[in-house]
Amino acid sequence: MSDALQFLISGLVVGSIYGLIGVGFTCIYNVTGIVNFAQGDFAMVGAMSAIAIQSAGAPMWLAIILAILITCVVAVLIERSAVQPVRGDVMRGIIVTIGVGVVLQGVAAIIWGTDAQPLPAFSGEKLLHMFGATVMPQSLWVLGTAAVAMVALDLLFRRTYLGQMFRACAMNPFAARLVGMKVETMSLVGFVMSGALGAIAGIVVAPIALTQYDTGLQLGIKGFVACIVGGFGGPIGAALGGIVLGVLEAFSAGYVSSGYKNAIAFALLLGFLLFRPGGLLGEYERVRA
Amino acid sequence: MIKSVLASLLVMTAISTAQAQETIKIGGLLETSGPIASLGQPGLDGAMLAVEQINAKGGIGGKKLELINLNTEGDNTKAVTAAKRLLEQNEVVGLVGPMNSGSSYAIIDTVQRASTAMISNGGSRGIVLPPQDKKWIFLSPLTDVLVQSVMMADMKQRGVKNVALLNADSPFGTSGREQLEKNAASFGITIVTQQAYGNDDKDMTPQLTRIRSANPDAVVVWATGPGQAIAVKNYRQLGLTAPLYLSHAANDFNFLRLAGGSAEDILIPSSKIYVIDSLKENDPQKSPLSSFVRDYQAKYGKPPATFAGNAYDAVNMLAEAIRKSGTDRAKIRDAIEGLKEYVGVTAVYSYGPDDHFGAKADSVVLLTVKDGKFALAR
Repeated sequence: MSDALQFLISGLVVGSIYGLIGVGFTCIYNVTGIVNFAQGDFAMVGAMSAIAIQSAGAPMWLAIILAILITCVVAVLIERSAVQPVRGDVMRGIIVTIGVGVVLQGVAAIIWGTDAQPLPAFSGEKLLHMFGATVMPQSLWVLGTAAVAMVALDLLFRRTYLGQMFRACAMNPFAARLVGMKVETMSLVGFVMSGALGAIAGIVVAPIALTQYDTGLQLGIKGFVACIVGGFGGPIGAALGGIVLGVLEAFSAGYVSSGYKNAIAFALLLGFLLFRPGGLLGEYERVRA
Repeated sequence: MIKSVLASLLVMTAISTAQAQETIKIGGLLETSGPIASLGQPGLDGAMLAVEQINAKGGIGGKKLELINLNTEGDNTKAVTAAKRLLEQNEVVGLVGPMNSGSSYAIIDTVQRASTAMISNGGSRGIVLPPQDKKWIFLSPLTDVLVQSVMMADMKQRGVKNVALLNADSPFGTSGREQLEKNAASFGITIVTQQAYGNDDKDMTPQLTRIRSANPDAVVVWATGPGQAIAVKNYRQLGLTAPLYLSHAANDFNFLRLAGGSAEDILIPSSKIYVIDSLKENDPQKSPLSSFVRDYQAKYGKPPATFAGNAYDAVNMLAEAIRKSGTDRAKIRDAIEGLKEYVGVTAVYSYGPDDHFGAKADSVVLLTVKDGKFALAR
């Protein structure tokens, strides 16, 4: 019984890591319709910057803030230099983000080397015990961050004027421009938010998972699966999808064999794409007109 | 006028070819970028140090030794292309092989057909097995069977009977698992549970929870890279207290940095490179090891990793073979096979027609971690 509980906790934590990355996908998607395959690499850039600044002697809070700012600047540069030139063409935008991911990994390998790097846990490493299972305090940070990010973004997209403008730009950029919205600015804001969210995800996860230049690829793929499972575009769906994936992985690693873990992720991806493309929660209020 | 210019040009090319022929060329296939770069880069640094030292002492028979390294990026196809280029265009007389076991496997055919000796830095035993068929291939690092024999001898001394194994789902991890399963019985050890994880996994708690339920006397984690640091952290988080053994891939400073306090008291079978000061005065490796570490530190400003020692040994053994037998490729191969009690920094090597591993068990010591530093166990 305590085994099962331990698997569940492990799954929830890993799942919210996937979910956090997945939530980051929704920002750019809901503004531009682009699936940003460099989302995992945003997390890597955020984590690596935080580690570098922190190990240079800066206090943790400063390192985190600076790392988020750095990642936002990177996101802005990418939006202006790589995504703007192909604006209006979602397919080309998606391909561009794949290229951007490769470039980010290469640059990270040059700046920070290829070794994995650790970041100290935010509130110590003293274990918490509950019902025979153990939990790292950092795991609670991950769970909490995922919950806050998911709810905040959902409110933003659905309840605020800014959120409505975002989605208007994605649904019909031409009409949005006709009624006076600055589509380019909205797209930039979407990238900045996605960069900030990616960085936060990477930093919160770093003390648990360790970070190296190519961590982003794996995270990005899992985050993408989380989005598909939960329903693309919805922050709550993305977080939920991540948790479903994480818990399934943990139980299969515990009871079957971890060799099947990635197979499960891709079977889930294929299954949802084929039979329920809208995901668990259904498509997030159809974006494509 | 034109004639004289042409003539002088001809003379100049003749001279430069003559000069080029003055060097003895050996090839390197070390990966300085890609996923294996953290092994290949220190490897190349170690190899360059060996070449520099040999040339500072006047080279081999008055000729300078020249190492031409092509970056194989941890990619099998690139390794084959690079090996062909070195063998056919650069006409090297010997090769220092890649760190990546996969790349080493990939080029065996090419190297064998070119009838040129290669000392590989890959960690997998199969690269040189069987030695009758892999006539031209030798290994420089410690192999898993060798270090596992030292590890299991220690388990036997501690009275360990039931062992749990957690290995990475990689060639290194799987090979370690097979060898351990094959040889455990001869040490009176039973493997009560075996679990695996993917090399990119971020959490090994589920597998270790299963291991905790099996209640073993000792646990072995057999993996490379950051995954083993996460496994060690998870091990402590789950409150497991049985002795924890890692592979020789954990004798790496970055592993210590990643695992932090969780690494205290773990056990690692390893070469002697990190515990020189604790070695007995009569240990044959003590003096070459201390001068290697000192010179490496002076040249690169950091202490050498195990991999630097592997490639350093490989270059030195190639040089030793050339010194004994000249530049004939077949004779170089025979000379490597004939090396006996060659004192390197990773091991004391004795090769033979049936043994292309070279290293012997007395080159392996059991390390532990005390206050964040490697130390001899007990």
